[in-house]
Amino acid sequence: MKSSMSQVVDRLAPIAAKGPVVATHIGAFTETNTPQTYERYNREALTYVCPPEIADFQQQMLDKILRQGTAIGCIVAPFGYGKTSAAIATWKLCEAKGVLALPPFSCGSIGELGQAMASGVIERLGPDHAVKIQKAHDTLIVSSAQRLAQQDSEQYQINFETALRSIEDKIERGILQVEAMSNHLLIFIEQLTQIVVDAGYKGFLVIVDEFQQFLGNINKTTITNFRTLVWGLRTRGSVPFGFLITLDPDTERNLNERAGDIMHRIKEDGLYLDFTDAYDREFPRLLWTRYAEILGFTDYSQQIVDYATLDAIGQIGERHDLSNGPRTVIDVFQHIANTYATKQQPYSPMDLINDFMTGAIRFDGDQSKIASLVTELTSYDYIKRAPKRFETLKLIAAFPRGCPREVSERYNLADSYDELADLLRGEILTELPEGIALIDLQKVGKPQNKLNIILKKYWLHITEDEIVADKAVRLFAKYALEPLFPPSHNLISGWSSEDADFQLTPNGSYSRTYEGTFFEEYPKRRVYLQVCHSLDQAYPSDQFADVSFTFVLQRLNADPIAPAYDPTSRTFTLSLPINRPFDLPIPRDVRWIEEYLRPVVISPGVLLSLLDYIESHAPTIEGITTSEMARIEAHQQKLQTFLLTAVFGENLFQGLGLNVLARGEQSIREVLFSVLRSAYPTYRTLITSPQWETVLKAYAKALGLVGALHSRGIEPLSDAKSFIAAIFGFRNHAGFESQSKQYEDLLSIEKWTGDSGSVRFQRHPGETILHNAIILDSLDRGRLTQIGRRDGYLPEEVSWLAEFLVLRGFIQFDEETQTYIPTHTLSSPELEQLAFEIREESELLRLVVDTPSLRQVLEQVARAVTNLKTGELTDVQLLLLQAQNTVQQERPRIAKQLSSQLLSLRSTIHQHIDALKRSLPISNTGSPLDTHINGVGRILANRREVYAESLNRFSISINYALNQPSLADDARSLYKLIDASNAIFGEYNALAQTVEDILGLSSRHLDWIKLVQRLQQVAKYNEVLDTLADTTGFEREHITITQELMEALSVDGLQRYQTLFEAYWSRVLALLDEVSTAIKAQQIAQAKTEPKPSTVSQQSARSKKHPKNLDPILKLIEVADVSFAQVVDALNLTAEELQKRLIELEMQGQITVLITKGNKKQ
Amino acid sequence: MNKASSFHVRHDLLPSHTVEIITLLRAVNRSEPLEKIQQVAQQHGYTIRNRKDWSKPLKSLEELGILSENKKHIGLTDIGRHIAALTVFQPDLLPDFVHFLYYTVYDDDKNKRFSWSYRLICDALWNSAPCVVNRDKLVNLVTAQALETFQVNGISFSTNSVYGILNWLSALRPACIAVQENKQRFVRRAYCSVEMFMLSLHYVLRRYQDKDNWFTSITPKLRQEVCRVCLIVPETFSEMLEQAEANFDCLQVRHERGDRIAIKDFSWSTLER
Repeated sequence: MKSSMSQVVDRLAPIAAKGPVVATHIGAFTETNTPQTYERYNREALTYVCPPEIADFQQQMLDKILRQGTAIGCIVAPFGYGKTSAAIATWKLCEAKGVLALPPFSCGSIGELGQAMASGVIERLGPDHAVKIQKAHDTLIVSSAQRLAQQDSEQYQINFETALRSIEDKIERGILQVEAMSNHLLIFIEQLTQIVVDAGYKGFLVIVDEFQQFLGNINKTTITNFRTLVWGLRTRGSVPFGFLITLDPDTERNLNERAGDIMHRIKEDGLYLDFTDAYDREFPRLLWTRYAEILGFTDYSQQIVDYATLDAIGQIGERHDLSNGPRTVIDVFQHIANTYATKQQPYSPMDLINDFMTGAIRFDGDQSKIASLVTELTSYDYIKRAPKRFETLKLIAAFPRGCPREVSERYNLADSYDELADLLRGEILTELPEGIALIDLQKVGKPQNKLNIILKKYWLHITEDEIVADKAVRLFAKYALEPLFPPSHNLISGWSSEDADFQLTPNGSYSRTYEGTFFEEYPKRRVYLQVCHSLDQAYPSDQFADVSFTFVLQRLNADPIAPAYDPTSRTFTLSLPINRPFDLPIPRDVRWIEEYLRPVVISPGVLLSLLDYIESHAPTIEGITTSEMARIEAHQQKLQTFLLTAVFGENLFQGLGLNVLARGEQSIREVLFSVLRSAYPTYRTLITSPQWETVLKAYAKALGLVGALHSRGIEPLSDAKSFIAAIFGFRNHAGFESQSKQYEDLLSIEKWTGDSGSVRFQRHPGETILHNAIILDSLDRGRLTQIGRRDGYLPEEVSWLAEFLVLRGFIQFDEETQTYIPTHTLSSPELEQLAFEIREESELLRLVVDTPSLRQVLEQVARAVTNLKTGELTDVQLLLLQAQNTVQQERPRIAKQLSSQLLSLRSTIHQHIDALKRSLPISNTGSPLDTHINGVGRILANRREVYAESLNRFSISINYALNQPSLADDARSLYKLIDASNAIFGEYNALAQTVEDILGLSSRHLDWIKLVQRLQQVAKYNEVLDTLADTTGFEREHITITQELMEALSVDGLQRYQTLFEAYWSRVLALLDEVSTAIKAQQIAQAKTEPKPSTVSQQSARSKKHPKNLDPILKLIEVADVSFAQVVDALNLTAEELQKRLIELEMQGQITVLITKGNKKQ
Repeated sequence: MNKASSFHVRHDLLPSHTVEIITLLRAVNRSEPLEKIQQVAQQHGYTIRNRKDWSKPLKSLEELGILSENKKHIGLTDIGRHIAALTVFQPDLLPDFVHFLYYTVYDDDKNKRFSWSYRLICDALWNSAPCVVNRDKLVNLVTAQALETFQVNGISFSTNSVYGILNWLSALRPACIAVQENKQRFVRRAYCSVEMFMLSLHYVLRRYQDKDNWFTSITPKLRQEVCRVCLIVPETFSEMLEQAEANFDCLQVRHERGDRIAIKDFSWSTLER
């Protein structure tokens, strides 16, 4: 005898074994498959609970058939909603009422439909009717296409199937039109129905299940056939034939779109049922009751599953979004049946929810909504830590329409039910007419304010430990520190970090280094931030940082850490009591949040965790709109701003000597500025704009183009504006003045007017720092960077500053030691010596040519000497080098000048040499003086030769001096030239007069020859005159002169050459003149008949009757007596002309011609 | 202000600088010479330290009643002190307060014509919202209206003046200026700070309040005006009123016989409590 329990288990076996799906018969009915189908269908029918709507539908269909009418019916329901079961029930009903109903089957074509009908009827009616039925089938159903295919197969000896496919394809594509198959089907249906009726049945019912199989892809042919079928059946109104199809909603929707008229026709008859909603909340209870009745466990049914649970199953089952309808119900019952033996307890709503959560219920709707929602809610600490709350929540979840309080009492959960209802009503739970339900399971009516939901969930979720846990460190970093360093806009504003987030350090703190700036004075600063729970966790940065902040998040009960600042490492250590409530009210806009979180009190830790919770959960709220999301974000922002202003302020830095005025972000900026100012008091940035490197590159290039005096700023660079602008890379000087401001400390404009300008290169303060360091010790690049860093200079700035120092000549890079070293400087005595040398040379050169440059050199030297004691030695050296440079530049000029002078002298010498070397003429007049003259001439010639030789030596010296190499560059050579030149000129000047004298004597010698020639001429004239007159006087004079000269020339004739000549030349000329005049006079007299006196004088009383045009001769003698020669000279007459004229005048009685001898008048 | 000001709203008065000036003046706690204030700004690295001439922003703040100058000493007024206290922990309220002052000071001093311009433009934008901010059109609007209202031609009002207004509208939170397709668009805000709402409610109520009747009916016109001052959508009036009622005891709302409100003893200091 079995126990009652085992009996119940046995009786539940059919339920447990119930398959989720009733398999539909496919295609024709055969001897083999027909019994199997019947058996399967009967078993299903046994436990089928027919909803009223379906029962009504079935009855209507039956009634119509029984009234001899053609009935076309359509059942629509989703998969798993019992279409097949309903079809089976219809089959059973009709069978029971005397209608031959074929078991529901599915088929894929008219041919298959016809075959199934025929075979089904044959199976029912037996072989007696088989022939007739088969004949009708063969005649009408075998498709025209098949006939054609058969013909083609026989004719062309091809496979039948291939032929059929070919023909059907052509039909499909409209190439081949065959006789409508549906018409044949209709005729066949008529004939078959008649056979059935003749066999004694009241009607004939065909049920095609899964009609979408028949329709296939619902092409044009299919629709045509279907339409023909439906139209045809409707028009055959008096045939007792019923045609029932089942469809899923998608196929129905498709048909409505593509063949809406067909569906409309079907609906017109009223045999159209969509029972998606036919299964209400009562269905599980009814089904369970039916199961209990049929399987005989009615007495135990409540022990297996109680009414409340059945109602819960029904409330879930009626919701398409929470379940798969009746399939879910059956799935639950199957599970109950399977587990009852083990459980031996009534199946409760909590069991139901558990099974949803574990997946034991397979058909839980497409979204598994209940499982995911309950899993979320029961994960909250508030729920988890109290098992009764956990169970109550599941109980409530099982009743989407509302869980009555009575039900909670039934399961001893009334207290927690009340508690949850009170605490969670509005956000998690809602009160419905039937009881408390989960809001998220409701279709409509959810609260407007999504933030409230988040807050309540947060309230359920948050614990004290959570607030102060390690997570708080990361949250502080994210919500309190990150906003303090906004992303960079450009090089001189904003921050960036190499790490995407704060990183865990080996000691357990979280750290991050930011690089950037708030201040243009301090670009590219590095700030190291770290957050930890205790000082032990603090971990110093392994990279350089300008300022470091260590935030220690402490609990209230921990020993407070006083704020500290280490000026050496510039590190702040700041403590924050993470769970100390704020001592000031939160902003009004968000003050209501305090109500929602009570009894949790707002502290920094709570705010951090709340901010994080809002950020992670807000986007997940179902149905949240963009505007709601924006509103939540605004509240979030408000809370975050409050957090920053409450945490960061003067209190945080109390006792550190920092006067912090603002709160929040601004307070940190103030602190940073204060630290940077005190750490780097002399720092002057080179990074003045985002294009700073381009600017410095241009400056470096300019330094390379100018001399050290300018690059060091000792003297301004004064030149044309265009030139100055060009060395900085400007094509045009317009705008240079304003653009130059970007060089700031490196350049100043002293003058910029007209076409010229004056700029002064300036040494940057950073250069001075580095230079001083290098002077103390040579430094490699690394050390130099470190030194620069001490004063706030970035490595890249140090690099530029070093380059400027090199370009200015202050330092140089030693490749061997790879260090920077100062450039070599002369000592003070050395500089003094240099100054002396430059001054000496300048003065020497000035003696040759006094140029403005040489005067400037002397001024520079004087200045350098003055600065020797007080100024920078390198600057003095530079001045002297510049002066030296000038002198060097003057040297070629001086050399050229000297050369020019020497060349000129050489030319003169050569002229003299030529003159001296020319042969002196010989006096060969026949006069006794010839000997004397020639004698002097010989002496003179000798001397000429001597001096010519001397002059030649000078010429050689000049050539030698001029032909020396490197006169321009080499001071020594120039000095040699100067010496040689001075010597040459000195000696020549001493000789020059003598040479002039010799040349003068040489020239006089020619005159002497002429003098002797004149004397000879006198002698000749005397000879001529002697024939005409008394020449004694002339001869005596001639002889006197000749003798005197002979005597004079015999003794030191050369010495007295000049004076003697001057003394006698006029005497000789006078004598010659007299003699020649006498001759003329004689000649004139001879021309007349009587010789008359040859003196021409004025007849005072003779004739005052001068013609108007006074004769020129008369004019002459008006003044005084004149000689014949004088008249000839004055009037430019020939002797013959004069002679002729005198005769005429004497004949006119106007003149008297007198003859005188020498000075004596006769 | 004895002489009528220009219609120009100075664009030199930037929100960022205003925050700093107020912070500086709050810190010194009394009137100080400008040089001292500038020195403190320099020492603390405030961005305004780079500004050579402070006269224009200071003048604007003086005209708004936030600070006063006496014998070259500058200090916060009472309103300025309240604003300073309120914005220490809620810096996002500053644009609201400045906007409110810009909008309303004209009522107390008809010489402050810049306030008249500010209000005119805000009303125009709110009335036609959502709309593209067309600066030239707004300039024309002010110019034409000034001629009609004050019989003044050729006023000093340009796109720079509009920038001066947009500086503050853009700083409001939530925002009423959004950039879409490279254009600035004005939209009414879905809500505003409860402080802003109270100030605006009090301001508008003054005109509607009946001496004999303490409570004033909340008419659609009143709603409209309050929302216009706050630059919010009218639909949010009820929600804002509810929030204000919850936060301020001086505000009383009655619902019987229609919605009515009364505000008793409200001032800037009320906001601090």
